[in-house]
Amino acid sequence: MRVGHGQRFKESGMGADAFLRNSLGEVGKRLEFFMLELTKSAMRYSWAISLFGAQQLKNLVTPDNLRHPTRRANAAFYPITQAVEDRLNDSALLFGVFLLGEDAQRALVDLTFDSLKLRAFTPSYIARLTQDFSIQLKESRRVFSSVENVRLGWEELKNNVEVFTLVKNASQLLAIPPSDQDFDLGKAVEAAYALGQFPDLWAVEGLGHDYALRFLGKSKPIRGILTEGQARTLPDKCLTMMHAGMGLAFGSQLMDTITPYSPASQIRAVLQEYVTLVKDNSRKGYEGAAYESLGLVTRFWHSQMVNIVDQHMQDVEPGAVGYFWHGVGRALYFFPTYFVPGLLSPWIAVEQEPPYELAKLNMIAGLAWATTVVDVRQPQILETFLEYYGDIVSKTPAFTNGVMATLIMGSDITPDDYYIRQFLAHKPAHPQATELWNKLVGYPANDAVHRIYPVLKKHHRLGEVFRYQDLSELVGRLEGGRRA
Amino acid sequence: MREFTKSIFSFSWAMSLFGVQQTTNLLSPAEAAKAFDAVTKATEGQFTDVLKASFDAGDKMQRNAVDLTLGMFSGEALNPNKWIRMASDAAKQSAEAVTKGLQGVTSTVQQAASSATKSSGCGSDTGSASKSQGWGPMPS
Repeated sequence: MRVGHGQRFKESGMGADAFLRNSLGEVGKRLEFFMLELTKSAMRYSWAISLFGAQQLKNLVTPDNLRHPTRRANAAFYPITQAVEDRLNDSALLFGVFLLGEDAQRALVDLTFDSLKLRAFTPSYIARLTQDFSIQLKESRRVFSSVENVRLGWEELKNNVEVFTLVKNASQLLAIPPSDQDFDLGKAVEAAYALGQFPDLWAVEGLGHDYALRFLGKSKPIRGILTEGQARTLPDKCLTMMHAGMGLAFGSQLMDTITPYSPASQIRAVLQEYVTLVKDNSRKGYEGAAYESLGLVTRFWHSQMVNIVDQHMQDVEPGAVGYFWHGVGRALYFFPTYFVPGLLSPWIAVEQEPPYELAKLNMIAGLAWATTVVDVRQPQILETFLEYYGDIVSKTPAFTNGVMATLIMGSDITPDDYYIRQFLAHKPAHPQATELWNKLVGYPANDAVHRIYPVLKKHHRLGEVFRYQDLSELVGRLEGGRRA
Repeated sequence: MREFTKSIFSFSWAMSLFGVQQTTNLLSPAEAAKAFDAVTKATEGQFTDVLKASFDAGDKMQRNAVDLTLGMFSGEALNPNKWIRMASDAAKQSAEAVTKGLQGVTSTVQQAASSATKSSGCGSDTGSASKSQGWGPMPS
């Protein structure tokens, strides 16, 4: 139990003056100790970085592989930059600034090298730049073209900040003790739902993450996190996001153990471990929710590894690849670079990053998922979005799939959710927007919640909504199978 | 070269922001020391044996120097036993670092000689070395 100063004063039996001098002396000694340790740590750090610089110079002068003379240096820089990034992650602002600078420098370096190689002057390159510029223009106009749009942009920013804060502070909000202490999972779930509709979703995801982390330090094999023990009695409604949270915990632990320069065998072993953990700890039919989180972790904290993980995942667990790219798309929405509406458009990344069509469809679905669920309380935000991005998102069914899937997940997490009911009943203010809204959002969303969701729930296939696929076809197959 | 340029910029950018973060962390020195240690540990992980020995030797000397500087205020610096212990530690660490350095130089020379032999007569291509090590795909 913590003892207060008053109590200590009484117990010491000293006079007030002597007690004060004694206390100040103690504080001074502690401060002196910490400052001494800090000085040593700072000097040790400087010494390490100096030697590291010398080592990289040597690596460059005497490369061990003439085909890739800078590979050894690149491989050495990566984990240190990653370690610093982990520390910067403690401060949302600095982490955001780091990622912004990182994206800017990468784009500039690419542009410089492409210009030197004259690639930047090819028609396809110029067409791509023009397309990027056009998307960016849409984003700026979406938020800044009218007073009403600025107001909606402000609402969107507030939603983003609220979600960010909820996820970051989930453990404090739910009074989850430090990772070495057990806690009552059932009560924590109740506390998450007590936060109310909308915050509950994010709190449950955070809870799933924190609960799974407790098992990761224990001896292997790790089995039954969400199927045994306290999790056995969890209400069904929290399972999708508990699995998503568990996937986040697995991903953040395992991805820290590899770099883009790790041997292929090591990368595959880590991905295999991820897949095994998901299979051994998930409820039947919810695995997709956990697989999807790997994409989110990889794009958010290890963006250089997205394509590498994709390539190896195709061998390790081809069925998880779609979920992975869905998570990559979802990560874009929460990425600090795109955090402030109107500044940079995540839809540029959707055009640039995916290496093949299925990846792109899943990224679009993932980004639509996050956009819809974060702004579900203000359907006008999505309505305005469609006004500006309608021509892009109506090209594929992936956007609508993301909207449908996220509302299915939301309806499952919070049965009879007030905000989802409002969203489903929304009628656009502008008649010209009605057709697009009904086609891309209104009708499919109602179909998803009223027809598709009950079938997926009945067949224990809710994890399927965490990737792009034709949900009507899936439901047809499931119902057909039953009749057969 | 493109990836290398990006690596250098990333590293420098990260280090600059880390400096800013550590400046704000000065108000909580324990937290700042923890952050320095985490990055130092990651850096140490990249050192070869030779460099690790040099790092340990230099680190120990620095620590002693800090203790000694602080000891001047408490009179501890006048203790001859401490001076003898420090001198003996420094000699031991330096000898260790030199030995490891010599071993490192020998092995580098051997490696260079063997790769020269391979490339001159045995017909193996230089790229196969990296393939046989099983590196993962590299970002373009």
